[in-house]
This record gives sequence, C-alpha cells and structure tokens, in this order.
Amino acid sequence: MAIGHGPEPEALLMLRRSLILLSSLLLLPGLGCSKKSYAAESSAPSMADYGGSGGDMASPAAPPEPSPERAYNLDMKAAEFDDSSMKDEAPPVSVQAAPSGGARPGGSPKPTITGDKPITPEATPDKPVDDAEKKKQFARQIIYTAELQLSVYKLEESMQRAEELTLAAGGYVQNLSQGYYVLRIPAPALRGIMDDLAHLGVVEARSLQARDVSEEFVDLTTRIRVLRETQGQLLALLKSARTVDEALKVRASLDALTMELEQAMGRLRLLESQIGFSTLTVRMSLRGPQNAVPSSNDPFPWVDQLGVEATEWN
Amino acid sequence: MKTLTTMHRHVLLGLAFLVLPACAAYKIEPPVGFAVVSENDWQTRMKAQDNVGLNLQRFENVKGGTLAFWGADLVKKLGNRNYTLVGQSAVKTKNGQTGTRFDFDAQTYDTELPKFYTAVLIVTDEEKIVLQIAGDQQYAAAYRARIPELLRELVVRGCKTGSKICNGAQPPPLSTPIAKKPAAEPEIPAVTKTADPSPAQP
Repeated sequence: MAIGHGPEPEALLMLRRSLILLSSLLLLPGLGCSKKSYAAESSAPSMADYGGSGGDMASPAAPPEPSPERAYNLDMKAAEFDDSSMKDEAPPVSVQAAPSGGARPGGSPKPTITGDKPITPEATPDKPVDDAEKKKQFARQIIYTAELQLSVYKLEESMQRAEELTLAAGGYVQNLSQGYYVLRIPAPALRGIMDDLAHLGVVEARSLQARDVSEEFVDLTTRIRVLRETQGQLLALLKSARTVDEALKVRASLDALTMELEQAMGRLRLLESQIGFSTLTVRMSLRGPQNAVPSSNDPFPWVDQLGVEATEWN
Repeated sequence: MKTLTTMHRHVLLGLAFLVLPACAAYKIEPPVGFAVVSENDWQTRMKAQDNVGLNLQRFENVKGGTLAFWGADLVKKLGNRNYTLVGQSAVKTKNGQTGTRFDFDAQTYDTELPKFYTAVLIVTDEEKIVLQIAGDQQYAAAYRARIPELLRELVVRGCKTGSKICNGAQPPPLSTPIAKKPAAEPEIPAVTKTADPSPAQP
C-alpha cells in the first residue's frame, strides 16, 4: 500500500502538472486572441481621440491594456469610428470647392472636420451650401419701383425730412431738384419710408410696381457659371498649346468669352442693385387752392375755392 | 360851345372812372402786420410774417341766396373736408353790414399739422363776400382775437335799399361732424416675402 501510495501522489502530481500545462496551452491561444483583438481595436479610438487621421488599425504603439469591459466598449466604438475615420481620409477634392465654383470669402475653402462628430453622408458640408446656392438662385427676384406725389404746407422742411428719412433707412438720394426726388431705398424699408413720407403732407397719388426678374436672374447666374467653366477649359488649352498659331486661336476665343462673361456679370450686378435698392420717385408741391377737395355734383362749388389752402397759400 | 360840350363829356367820363373803384364790392386796408400778396377784382390776398394768410374773396350771389343759406352751405362743405366748427357768431363791418363769423379747426387729411381757419361771411344782393384767415394752430388765439379789428377795416357794398338779403336773419347754430379721418386711400397690395432674405425684398 505504501509503495502503491508512494508513486501515486507523484503520478498524480505529474498528471496535474500535465493537465495544467495542457489547459494552459488550450487557454493561451484564447487569451492571445482576446489580447490581439484588443490591441488592434484599441488603436482606433485612440486615433480619433488624439486627432489622428485614422485607418492605422494595426498600430504597434498601442496604449496600455484596458479592462475587458472597456475593451468591449471600445470594440463597439471602434466599429462606429471606423466610418468616420474613413471619411476623414476622403480626398480633399470632395470637401473643397462649392458647386458654383465661387471663391469663398476668407480664403478657407471649406470648414474642416474637427471634433469627434461623425460625418454622415446626409450631413456632408457640401449639402447646405448647395441648398443655399440653389435657394438663392431660385428665390423670387423682384425689382420695386414706386412713386409718391404729395402736397405739403412746408416744402423746404418736408424736402429736408424726406432726405433724412432716406438716409436713416440706409438709402440715398439719386436725383434732386426743387420738390422732386429720386430716392434709392433698401427694398425691405420701402413700404415704411412711403408711409413716413405720406405723413409729410397730403398724398395726391401713390403707385408701386413690381417687376419679377427671377428668370433673367437665374439665366444670368447659369450663363456665368457655364462661361466660367469654359474659360477654365480654354485656359487649360492655352497652356497646352504647342504652336503660336494654336495659342493665338485659343487666346482669341478666350478674349471673346471673357468679354461675354464680363457683360453678364455687369448685368447681374445691375440686377442685384435694382433688386436690393428700390427706386422711389417723390414729387412734392406746396398746397394751394388747386389742392382743395372738390365737391362732386355741387351746384354751388364756391366753397371749393375757400379753406386753409386758399388762404394760407403763398 | 361845341368845344365846351366835348370837354364836359370828358370831365364826366373821368369822374365816372374815378367813382367806379369806390363802388367795388368791398374795400379793405391791410391790417397791421399784413402785406398784400396779390389783388384782383375777385380777391385780395395778404400774408403775415408768421405765414398766416388773410384772404378776401367775393362770389356772385343768386336769387334766394341768403346768409342763412350760404352759411349752412359753407359749414356743411367744410365739415366734409375734415374741418370742425368751434365757434359761430354775428359780426358787423365798418359800414354796418351784418355777417356771420365761423371759426374752424382744420385737421388735414394725412398730415398731423393742425390749422386754424376763420371765415366771415357777408351776403349782399349782388354778392357773397368771405373774409378768411388761416394758419398754424399755434397762432389761432392771437389772430382770432384780431378779427374785430380786421372787420373794422372792411367796407362792403352792394345792398339795395330795403334789401331783405342784406338784413336777413343769422343762420341757426350750425355744427360739423366730429373730426373724422377720411376714407383711407386705396392700399397698395401687400408684397409677399420670399423665404430667401437676399436679395432683400419689401
């Protein structure tokens, strides 16, 4: 029994050792796998967090091991960030130039992608600009022209007041003579100014015309865009011209196109000015007997010749 | 003898020309502070330094046109023009012609400039004569107080002996509708705004 008991513990020990070894061998690859996956995935958030360009999933410089829980979370986060990092790497062309090709004020071509907000395809920075451009292009474009005829008791004072009101509204006097004004008023302030001017005297006549130039505006905008594109192509051709003759021919086309472009731009500027600033023509006259209110169908119209106007008139 | 007759005729003609202006429907000397701006057969216009106007005007009268009739006509029509009657009284001219004085406050249509207006109406067989004085409301008290003084300078002619028109009754107390704002002028259709603020539109 003693001999039998003797080697038994040894064999048992050996058996235990081999079992442990075996189990450790079996466990190790599993551990190794989890370790490997963590090491790979942990790099993604770190890059996003530290402003890295992303995409270097197998970075050797992995941060210290987090807890398994954290490893799992990061795993999920990494999956989310995968897209963003890919978007980050998108070629700059797609996020730079606006479709209209117009230079942006401030020099910066586009707002850069910062922070950890993922960029979804719906929220591409291109999209709002595109919409704004389209909105502007297809909004109703109207030129307002108005006329106001007033008879006033105090001509000089009224004329001065009319000028003050115009300047206060951000407009300007385009033409001025005794009792006659051509005013340019910012379009949104036109109605208010007309009402204010009406209080300077008695309104004898008032009119307002609206001319819709949306079609012309859109046409011009499109024409300018196309001309610009053609201009760019011609410039490229000019660069690649091999002979002087070729270059001269391209140059001639370019000159004609540039002139056309300038004309279109001039017309657009004029339209924009007319749309932005309405034209208000004001005629003022001193109130007199001629302004007395006539009585209709009056067999004795003598009172029409009486009154403040007839008496106070200069 | 023949020469003398011709001379007499010329003298008579000259006298007639001299007498004619004296027979004009009215005569007024510019009161202190007023100067004549224009004058013709039908009206005399004067102005004071503070832009207060004095206007004497005459119109032909028609059969049946009494002081009461024309007084009511005047008040009604001025009332329609946004004048408010604030006083009515009987007056007399320098040569004793009776008339009616009407004091109005005038609030013009669109302006907020208050004005005063006083009309003195005198009706004769031939004509109706209106003495008017008007200006900014701030001068109303000062100039209305001078009306008796102005009437003392006024001579009105054209009354026949025993005329019923010239000695006609005063108009009954008259009134105007309470100062109202006249019907608004045709409104300019409202302009609809577009969603896009630029370029701006009213």
